[in-house]
Amino acid sequence: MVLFFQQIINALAIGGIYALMSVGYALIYSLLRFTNFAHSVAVTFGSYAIYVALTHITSNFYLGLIFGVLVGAVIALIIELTAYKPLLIKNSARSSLTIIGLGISTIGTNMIILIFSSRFKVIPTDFGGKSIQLLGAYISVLDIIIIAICLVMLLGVFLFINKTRTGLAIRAASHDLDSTALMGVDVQKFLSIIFILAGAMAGIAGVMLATKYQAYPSLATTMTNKSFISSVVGGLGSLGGAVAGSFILSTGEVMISGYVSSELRDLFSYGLLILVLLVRPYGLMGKRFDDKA
Amino acid sequence: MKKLVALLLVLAVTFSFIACGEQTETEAPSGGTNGDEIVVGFIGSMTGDDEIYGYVSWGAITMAVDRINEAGGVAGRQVVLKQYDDRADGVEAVNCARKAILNDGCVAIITSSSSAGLISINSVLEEYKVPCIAYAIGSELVTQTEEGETRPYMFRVNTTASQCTTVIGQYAAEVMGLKTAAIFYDITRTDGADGVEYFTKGFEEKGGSVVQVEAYKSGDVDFHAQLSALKANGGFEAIYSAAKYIELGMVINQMKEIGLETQMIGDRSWMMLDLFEVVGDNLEGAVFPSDIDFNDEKYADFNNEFQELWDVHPGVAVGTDAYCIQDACMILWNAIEKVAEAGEEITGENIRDSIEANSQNVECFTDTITIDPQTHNVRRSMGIFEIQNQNFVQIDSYDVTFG
Repeated sequence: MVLFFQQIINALAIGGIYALMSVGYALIYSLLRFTNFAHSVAVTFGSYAIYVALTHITSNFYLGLIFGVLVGAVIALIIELTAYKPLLIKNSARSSLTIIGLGISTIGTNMIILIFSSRFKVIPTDFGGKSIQLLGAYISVLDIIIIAICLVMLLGVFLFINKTRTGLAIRAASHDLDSTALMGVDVQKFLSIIFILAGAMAGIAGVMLATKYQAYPSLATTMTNKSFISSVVGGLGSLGGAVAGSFILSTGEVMISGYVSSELRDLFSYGLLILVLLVRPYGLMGKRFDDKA
Repeated sequence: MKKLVALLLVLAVTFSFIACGEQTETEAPSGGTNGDEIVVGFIGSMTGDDEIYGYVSWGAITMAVDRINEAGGVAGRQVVLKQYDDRADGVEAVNCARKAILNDGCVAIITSSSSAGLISINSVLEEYKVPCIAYAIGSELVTQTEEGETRPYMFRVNTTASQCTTVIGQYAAEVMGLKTAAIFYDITRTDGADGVEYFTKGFEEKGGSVVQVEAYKSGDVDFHAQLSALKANGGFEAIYSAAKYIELGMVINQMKEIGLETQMIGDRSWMMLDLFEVVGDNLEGAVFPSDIDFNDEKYADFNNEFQELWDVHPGVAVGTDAYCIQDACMILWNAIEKVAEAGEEITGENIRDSIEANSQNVECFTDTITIDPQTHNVRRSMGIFEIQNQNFVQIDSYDVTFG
C-alpha cells in the first residue's frame, strides 16, 4: 500500500509537468489546428533561464521562476512572429507550420549547446533532496511546490479562457478562426496572446524540469514528446483533455515501471497513443476537426 | 525545354555521383603520408548532447600531437591531426571513418565513438586496412565479434567491461563482504547490459547474490517509479549502477528524495569532476572502479596546461578520456616508430601489424600498457576508489589481465 501511495505521488509530480506542457500544445492547436513542435524550445529556454537567474541575477527561486516564465513567453512570441505569422499570412498549409516547428526545435536545442555547452547545469536551490513523510511514503518538498504551482497555473489558464472577455473571444476564434477574422476581429492579437500564454506555461515547465532534474539541452525534447502524447490522448485542442491525458499517461507510466517493468513503459505510452488514434482519433475530450493540413 | 534541361541536369548529377562512387570504391587509401607528414584521424562527438566528451578528447589529443611534433615528430615526420564529428551516432561514425581514410588519407584513427559506432566502423577499417584505437568504451564487442573472433583492425587502451566490472563485483563480495545486491542499469546501452552480466559474474563468483534488477532507458529523467519499487522490495545491501553523467545525478538525488539509503557501487564513468556538483554529499562511501585517478599528482602539470588551453579541467565530464587518449597516441607513436625502424612503408596495414606485435609494456601516459595480440584488449592497472568527503580516494588497485 505504501508503494502504491508512493507511486501515486510520483505520478502526480510528473503529470503536473506534463500538463503544463500539454496545455500549451492544446492552446495552440485549438486556434490554429496544428501541433507546435517548437514548443520544446520555450521549455528549454525556460529551464536555462532559471539557471541564469539563480547563478547571475538573484538567489530567490520565485524571482527566478518569474524570469523563466518571461523568457518562455518571449521565446514563444518570437517564434510566432518570425516563423508562423509569415506562413499564416501566406495562407500556407498547416503541415508547413508543423514542419517549420520541427526545424525550430532542432535549431533551439543547438543554440542552447552553443551558448551553454552540453554540460548539465545544476539549479542552485535549497530544495535538493528534502522530503517529508506521509503515510509511509516520501514526498519531496520540490514535488509539493511543483504540484502546487502546476495546479495554480492550470487553474489560472482555465479561468482566463473561460471567465474573461479575451478568453471568450479566443474561444470564439477557436471555433472558426477564418470566419472570426472576416468579421473584423484582430485575430493576430489573439494568436500572440495564445503563444505568450503557451510560452509562459512552457517556461514554468522548463523551470520545474530543470530544478527537479538539472538543465541540459535535450531535456525538454524528451519531456515534450510525452506531453504531446498526453495532449493527443486527451484530445488535441482540449485544455481539460490535455490535463486529463497528462495524468493518465504519467500514472500509467509510473505504475508500469513500478509494478511490471520499465522496459514496457514506452510500449504503454506509444501503444496508448496508437490505440487512441485508432479508436477515438479526436481523443478523450477533443472535438472533431476537419484536417486542414 | 525546361523539362529537357532539368532531365539533363538530373542525368549529369547522377552520372557524376556514379563516377565518384566508382572512384572511391576502387581507389586505395593514399597511404596516409603527405610528404613528410603522417595523417591521423580523430572521430568524436563534437556537437550534440555529447559535445563535452568530444571537446575534452579533442583538447587532449591536440596536446599529445603538439607534444610529439615539438619533439621532432614520429619517425621524423610531423603528425597531422584531422577531426571528424560523429555526433555520437553510429551511422555517422562510419561516414567519418570513410572520409578520414578516403578523403584525408588517415593511416590510423583514434576514437571515442559509441560502442555501436565502433562496431560499425570495423567493416570500413577492414576494407581499407587502417587501424583504430579506442580509449573510452568497455564493450567486448568492440574488439571481438559475437563469435569470439578478434576484429583485426580495432584495438583499445582502456579496460573492458569484463575486466573492470567483474573486478568491482568481486571486490564488493570478497573485500566489502556484501552478500546481496541490486542492479539498476540502462537497458538501451551495451555497457548497461555488460554491467549486469559482469557485475553479476564477479559478485556471484565470490559468494554474493544479485536479488533485484531494475532498468531505465537513456534519456529518462524520472526514476522514482523504479527506485520506489527497489526500495519496497528491499532485501539488498547495496545497489550497483552504471548510470552515467546526466542520469547519475538524477538517480542519486531521487534515491535520497524517496529515502532509499544504501551502499552504492558504481562504474568507471563516476570518475568525473562534475559528479559532486550534482550529487553533493549524497554519494559518500560509494565505491567504483577506474583506470586512472585524475587527481594523481603526476597529472598536475597536464591538468594545469589543459585548463589553460581549453578553459576546462580535463576530468570534467568523463574523467578518464583526456588521459586514456594520451595512451592511445603513445601506443600509436610507438607502433609507427617500429614500422619506420623496420624500414617499412608507413601504411595502415603495417601500423596495424606493428600495434599487434610491438605493444608490450609500452610506457604510456597513465601506465605501462600491453595490448594482447590475441584479443586486442589491454593489460594495465586499475584502481578501486571510494568517495570520501567529496573526493575520490583510491582504496585498492588491480592489475587486470587480458579480457
